[in-house]
Amino acid sequence: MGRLALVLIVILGFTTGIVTYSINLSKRYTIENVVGFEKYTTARNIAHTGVNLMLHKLDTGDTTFINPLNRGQKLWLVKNVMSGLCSISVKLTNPAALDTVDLTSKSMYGDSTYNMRLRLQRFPKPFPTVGGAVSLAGTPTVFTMNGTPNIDGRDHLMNGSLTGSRATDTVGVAVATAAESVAVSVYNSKIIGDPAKIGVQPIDDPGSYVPEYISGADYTWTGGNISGNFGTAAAPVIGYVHGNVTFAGSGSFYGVLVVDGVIDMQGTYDIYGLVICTGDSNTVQTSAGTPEIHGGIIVTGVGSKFSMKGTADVQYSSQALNMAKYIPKLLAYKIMKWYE
Amino acid sequence: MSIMMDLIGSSILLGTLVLAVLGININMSNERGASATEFHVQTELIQLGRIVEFDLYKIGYDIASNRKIITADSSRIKFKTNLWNIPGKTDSVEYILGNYVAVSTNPRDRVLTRYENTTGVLINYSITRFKLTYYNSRDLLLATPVTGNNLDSIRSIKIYLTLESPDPLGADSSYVAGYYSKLVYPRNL
Repeated sequence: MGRLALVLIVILGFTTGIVTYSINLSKRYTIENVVGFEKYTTARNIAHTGVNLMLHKLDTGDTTFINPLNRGQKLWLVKNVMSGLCSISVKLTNPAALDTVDLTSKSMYGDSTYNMRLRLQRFPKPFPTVGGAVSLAGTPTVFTMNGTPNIDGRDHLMNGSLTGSRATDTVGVAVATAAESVAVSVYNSKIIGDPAKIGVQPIDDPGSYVPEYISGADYTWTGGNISGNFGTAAAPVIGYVHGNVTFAGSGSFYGVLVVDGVIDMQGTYDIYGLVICTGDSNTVQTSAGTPEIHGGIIVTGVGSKFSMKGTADVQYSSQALNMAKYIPKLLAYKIMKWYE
Repeated sequence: MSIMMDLIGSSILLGTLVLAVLGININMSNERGASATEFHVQTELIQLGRIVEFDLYKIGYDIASNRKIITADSSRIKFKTNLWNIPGKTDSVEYILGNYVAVSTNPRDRVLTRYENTTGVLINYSITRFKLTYYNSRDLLLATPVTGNNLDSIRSIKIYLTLESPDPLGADSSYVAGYYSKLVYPRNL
């Protein structure tokens, strides 16, 4: 009897063990299923984060990426993200056009991987229309040119030479009224334009664009002498002058420069891109040296002045204006293809 | 007399022990069955979720025309894509919630069919809920069926999936269920 009871207990224990093992196995597989799905989802999130990381690199004008990109190179960014690993590559589809970006994002989390391949079109946000090398929308316009400065509305390359086609030329000075045209025409001999030196036409009000430029300014100057280089053709920047500032020496500025105050350009300082004078009583002047502005200038506001002295030059350049449109933080992206 | 008492007592003890063993075994077997069914339902749910996600994230990929979603109803969707990223190829994918399954005990389970181009595959027999809702770029719910130009305004799709076991567990008629829900923003819309 005792032996039978012992055998029964052994059988009971054995059966219980098998069933318990089966239940645990089933639970374990269930948990593995959930964890597997969680890993897949996390891997997807990591790949997506990788895309955002790369776009952030471009948005912030990271020249370690932008410069090689513009040379047509393909770049990789490898990052540990959310306890996983993400590898993202970026390449301009056509480096000359700058407008299409190819990205691949590969992520790994645990034993799960996820791939994304996408093509994005990037384009500048709306940009003020520049009607001439210098566009005057001040009331009243105070415009003077002394010495041997030049305003040239023919389309130039950023190196100062004329473009091959005259189809993109514009007027030297664009004004809003015939009265302003008369005031400017005193300096006809210092103005070149195609088809006319001076054009009477509506001047685009840059007021709606300026707040974004100011809030996103890479450099803000409130006074003093500024020298040195700010931005490059590959990575233009936004500058904001709020006060009386002198740009002197042999430096350069690439991008959009918003002026709410006075800028005086001296030495051989060069500006490439767009200069916008906003607010009231602004002054843009070139008081000495041979400074050059390549691109365009829009002068607005009550009581604003535009004054050139010495041998300064303003050259209209659609190339420089296009460059300024591609300030990384001012670009918008549109998805052309996204495969995942 | 004393021996008889011992025998009777031992028999009672043995009987009790055997009943206890049987009871435990039955309970554990039931639990094992329930665990296996839960595992099965959950596995199906996750696989189905991944299949649906695989497809929906590709809606409109490499499709030039604006009309990327052909049909958008609460239990049916048909769309165009280049599913396997083969240059120049256009595929159509369709999900249709079909009839109730007659052979199962569960009165609510239905068949879900996935069509890739013209090939239809019954991908699940245990669906008790397959619901799709559609939203525009302002995240406003679009009434189903979405038709006409509203099809082009779809920007996101929410999927609701519920699977239940074909047969109840035990005598209490309860079915093992799994639930999946996700809001998908197909990037090519």
